[in-house]
Amino acid sequence: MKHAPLMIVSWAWVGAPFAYGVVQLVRKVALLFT
Amino acid sequence: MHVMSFLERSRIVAPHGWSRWLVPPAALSIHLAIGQVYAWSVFKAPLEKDLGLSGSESALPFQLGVVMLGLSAAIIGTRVEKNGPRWAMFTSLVCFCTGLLVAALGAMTKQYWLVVLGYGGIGGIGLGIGYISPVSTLMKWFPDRPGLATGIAIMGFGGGALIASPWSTSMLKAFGVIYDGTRVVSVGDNAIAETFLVHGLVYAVFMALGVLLVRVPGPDWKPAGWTPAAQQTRALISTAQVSAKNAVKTPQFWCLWIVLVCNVTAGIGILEKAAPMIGDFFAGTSTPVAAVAAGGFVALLSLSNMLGRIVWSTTSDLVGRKNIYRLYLAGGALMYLTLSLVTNSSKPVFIACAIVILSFYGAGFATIPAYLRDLFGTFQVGAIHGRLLTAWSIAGVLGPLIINRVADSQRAAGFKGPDLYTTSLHVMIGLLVIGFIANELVRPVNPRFHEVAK
Repeated sequence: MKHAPLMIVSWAWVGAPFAYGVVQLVRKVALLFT
Repeated sequence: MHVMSFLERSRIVAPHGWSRWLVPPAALSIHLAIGQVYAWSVFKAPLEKDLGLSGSESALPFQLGVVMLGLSAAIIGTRVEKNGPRWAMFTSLVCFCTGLLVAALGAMTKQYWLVVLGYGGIGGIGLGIGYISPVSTLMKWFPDRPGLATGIAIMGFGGGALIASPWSTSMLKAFGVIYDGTRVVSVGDNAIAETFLVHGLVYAVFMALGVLLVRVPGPDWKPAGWTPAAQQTRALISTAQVSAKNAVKTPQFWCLWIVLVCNVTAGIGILEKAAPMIGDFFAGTSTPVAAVAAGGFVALLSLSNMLGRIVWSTTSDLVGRKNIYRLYLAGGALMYLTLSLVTNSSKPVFIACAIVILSFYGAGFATIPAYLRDLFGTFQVGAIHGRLLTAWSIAGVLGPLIINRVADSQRAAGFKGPDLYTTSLHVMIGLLVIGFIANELVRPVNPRFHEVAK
């Protein structure tokens, strides 16, 4: 695939903070069911 | 001079073989950053404690930000189309981050007007330009899947709050804001200013990826194996182009404007009051909802709002834009009707209805650019989208106003529990029915508004 390193870096750039946000959110959602 | 040339559209025409899947991360780096505005509530309590503000006063930067978003998108939209996405993303970066730095100065000098001007005024312009900056570019790269493309970007705007909310809270704590549960006990010297400052700098670096990475397709580029004729299988999908100036003269634009106002008002009403609403609904039952659990409910709605943007918008590529809005509007009205009938007899039904309503709310935002593209083409779709976002500014004020005013008057009249919200639920049903009718009135654009091919 062309531009593979750029593809990985750019998706990781936006994906990592997004994953952090989703994990924090799921932890908060769990409070509704405890 | 060099900076201006770096930002020019001609500098970012993609070379042969450039992958279109590099464009969504560029768009996401802008939308994930500016979506921070949805997490403004994190700053409210510390600012109120530090500067002695009321709840209404501390909401001002957010409210001004949303108004400026709509206005700047409407006014600067045509320029965004003309100058290209790199210029727009760079301008958004400069305005949004400068706004945060000015807010930092305001918090440091205890001049609240600077916080309002910086975050809401200057930052709000960055929100509007940033929001529409990748829209037409994404649709040119994904003519076969416009709903998916804009769904990804606009999901990023919802996702921005998911990142900013926990991140900003931990930063405020690190710089000296002390909490007791959700209550702010004390605010350390310059804690808020330092938080704004770090936000401004980090977001500038984060958004820079979008500025550097964004590309526009070459004039003859199209996805492999795709032909425009094959796409035009539905009556509302046009291959003609309409300018932003002409689009606002069409009834189709105003029908969609009404659809957006109604859909957003209906969703934002429940989103804004979610925590107190679930508490009030089940207050007198055998299963009351604690404040912590209500916080979990709000988080669940945020997740639903975000997922609705990508899931429903992508589905619209398959079922058509008019049909999917039929679902959002009629389905939303049905959910509100169910809430008003079931009231507090079933918590799972209440939660399920709220989830569906919020997924339709987010989806309404995410699908509208593709609907505009179907009707008006890609020529100035970003600018047309910008003009349509004035509907958001109005709905952002209207939704909370309706639900708060009705709940307050019902409370004053001695009502409690679900009765506090019954009238609001009926108002929301009415709004969604109006939106449904407006969507039914959407027809193909009259050819007299089409641009003449050169």
